[in-house]
Amino acid sequence: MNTFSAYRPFPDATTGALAIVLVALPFVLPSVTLASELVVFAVGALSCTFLLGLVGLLSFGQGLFFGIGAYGAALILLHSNSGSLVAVLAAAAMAAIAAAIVGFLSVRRRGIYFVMLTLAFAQMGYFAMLALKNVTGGENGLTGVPRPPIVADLGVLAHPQAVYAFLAAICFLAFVLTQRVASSPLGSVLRAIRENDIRADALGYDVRLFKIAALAFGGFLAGLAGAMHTIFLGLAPPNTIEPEMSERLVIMAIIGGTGSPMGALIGAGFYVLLADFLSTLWPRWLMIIAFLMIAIVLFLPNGLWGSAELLIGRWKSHRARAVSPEPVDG
Amino acid sequence: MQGQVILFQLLNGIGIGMIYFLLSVGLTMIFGLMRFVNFAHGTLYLVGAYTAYSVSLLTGSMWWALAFGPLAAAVIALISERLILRHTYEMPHEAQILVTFALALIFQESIILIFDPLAKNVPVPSLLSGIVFIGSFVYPAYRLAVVFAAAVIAILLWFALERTRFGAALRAGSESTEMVSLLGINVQKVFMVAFLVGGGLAGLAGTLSAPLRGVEPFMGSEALGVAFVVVVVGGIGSFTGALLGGLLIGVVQSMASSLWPEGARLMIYGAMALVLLVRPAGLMGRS
Amino acid sequence: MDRPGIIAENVGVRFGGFRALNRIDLEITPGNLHSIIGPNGAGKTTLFNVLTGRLQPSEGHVRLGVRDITRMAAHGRVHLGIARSFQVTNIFHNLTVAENIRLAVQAVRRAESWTFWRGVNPDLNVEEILAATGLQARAADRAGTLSHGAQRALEIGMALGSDPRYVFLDEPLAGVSIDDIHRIKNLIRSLTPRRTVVLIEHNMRVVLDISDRITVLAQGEAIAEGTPADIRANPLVRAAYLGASV
Repeated sequence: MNTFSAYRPFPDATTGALAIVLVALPFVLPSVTLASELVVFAVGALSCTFLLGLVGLLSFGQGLFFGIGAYGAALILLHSNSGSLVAVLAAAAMAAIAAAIVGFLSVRRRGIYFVMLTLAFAQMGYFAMLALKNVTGGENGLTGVPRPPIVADLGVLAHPQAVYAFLAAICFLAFVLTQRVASSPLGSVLRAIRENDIRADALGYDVRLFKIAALAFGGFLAGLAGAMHTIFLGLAPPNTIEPEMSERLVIMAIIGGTGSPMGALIGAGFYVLLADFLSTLWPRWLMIIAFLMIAIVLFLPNGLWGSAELLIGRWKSHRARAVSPEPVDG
Repeated sequence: MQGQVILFQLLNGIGIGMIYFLLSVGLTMIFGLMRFVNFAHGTLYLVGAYTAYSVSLLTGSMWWALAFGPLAAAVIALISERLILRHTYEMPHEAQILVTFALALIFQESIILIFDPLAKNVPVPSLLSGIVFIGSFVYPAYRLAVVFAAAVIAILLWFALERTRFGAALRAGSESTEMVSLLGINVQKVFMVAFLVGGGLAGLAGTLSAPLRGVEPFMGSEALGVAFVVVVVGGIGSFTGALLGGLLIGVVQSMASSLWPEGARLMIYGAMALVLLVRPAGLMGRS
Repeated sequence: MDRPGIIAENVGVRFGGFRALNRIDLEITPGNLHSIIGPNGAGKTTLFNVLTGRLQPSEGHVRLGVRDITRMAAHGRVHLGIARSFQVTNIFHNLTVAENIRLAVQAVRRAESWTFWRGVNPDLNVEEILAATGLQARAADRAGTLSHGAQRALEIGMALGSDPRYVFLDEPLAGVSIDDIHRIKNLIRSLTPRRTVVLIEHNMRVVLDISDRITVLAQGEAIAEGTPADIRANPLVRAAYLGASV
């Protein structure tokens, strides 16, 4: 089930589990809005989970691509007659291209330098948004974004339930696509680069090019999430491109655990629900999240999902031992 | 007139650049010494600035603030090194980054808790609140003082690094920590002093910039990004790199602000991208 | 069959003020087993790094036949048929043995490596290399769990994955038990003449036994080159390196 850690067949049990969770969410959670927010950030966190878990790239810059997706979708919807699906996909593609360009510059440095560069570029995105206020609306963001049917006249997004169904479907496809990539020949190369990039280079893999491709895919996922966010809210506020967005996506990924795509869903779910709950109690709830993150890094390096998987694995083997007939003595 | 505007912006840029240098030199020094990137480094700038704000509010004097700002940051740097950071030295870089990043968040939230999320002004020290005439050229005295103060500190720091036993240990440590311990120097102590000094300088940067830009809780995370740009441009682990990178970034930002005010901050990242393309290891960096 | 040699011309490498290699001229003849020997710090691995693209020389050129490949990256050279193993075992510890080799085989199929819409190709020729290196039984195990000797064999297997014309092996016998030495030695010998082998090795008995040509490095300079018999007889080499033991 640790799709990112080692090669796993596709699809696996988590694919089905994901489908069930997505269908159940709006019925389990207090509001369908909360469910929509959750699936949006699940896809956003997935971009970090994918990069760190599969390729070993810690990106503090995914908020930039989330923002490009959010603003891109808003601009397309405001200025063209395209349907929601086309707008979402086009915005994600824009984010992917931007991520490839940032990736081209960032993969010149490895390790810590790379992380520093992603953070710097994320801030650059924020200042670019402020500088281009004619296009982006500056501090006000883009408001009054229409929510047209998904394709042509089909799939009217008038009700929150319909919006959730659309977003959940995209979320499902994004997760399935990520699982597919992880268990493909390309995924095996990315895993090899994470394990040992010098060896991967010596084997004949153009490590930089593969990293750029991975970053473009990560940018695509983040951009997808940003565009979903615009559909969800009907506006593109500046906080979608703030550096805090990058940080939030990293936190979600770490809390959930980066060993498998499911970690992103768990991490985003945990964060969104906890924020929803805590923010009514204490406005400085982010501090609790920060303490939680330190605890997870120090004591649960596999994150919530990874640790749960370990527990389930142990329980299963324990039960298997208990059920199997004891060897009879003498 | 045009020439005066350019000179004005150039001086402003040097002032901002010197503050960026103070902000970044600790980060680059600590990285050179122990391959440790402190994502909580911007916090020290934040602490310096808020200490300056509080002290000047309490005492009515910016001079006390100048003493307490760096001190508070240095103490916090030292405490976090002793209590938390040193336990992460053996961990993967990702873990160090995430722990220090979480620390930064905790400090940022604490600041909002103690004060509030709103931006606040900090007065310029009364003695320096005027202007100076250089011939027919008029310039704010405080900004000029910042340039001088930072230059004096840069020289002192250079002297300490190049001419003292501790500096030698620090430079040797950035080559090989093993060598330092072989020389009979207490590596732990060198680390502590590096954090103390680096933290104090970042705090000083925050203190000095407080009257120029005011204080707000998110200035720490912004400063972290700027410090990263400076070390990427200058070449990480290099004192000269931090100085050159800081000045270059400061001047670019200041010059751009007279041409395209909204895009001034954007330009510093443009400068970084350019340096990355031409010299991936930074101006003074070894590849 | 067109088989150009690998030629180093006047290659020098400086690390700051330190000269790691100085004016090395070397020609690797196709089909040969060419060993590079010399005391520790002589520059053998540096020379390997220059020839396989991990390091760019400060001066001089590396050619493959008439083609200048001095500035070509390591991954690019693999596609010209140049592969290597590492002195310090450099494998994917957390992946299975079969996956390690499969990645090596897949590397030279460019389209395959970019395929993301299906699972990995089971047709890749992994079994043959597993058999040649004696690792079939451990194929499904994590590479990190192998014994040192088996990891050295896997290291060679990965170098062979791209079906290279030139194989650079950096101390393949380092730390290998006596039982395994014979097996790995035979494996290396069996690579020629179909492939060209360049070998760094400290085990003189093996080197003198299986090499076609030997180049001796000392302090960054090539002090002698010839057949094993030449090298054995060379007084300069005896003085600099072999001592009285041979």
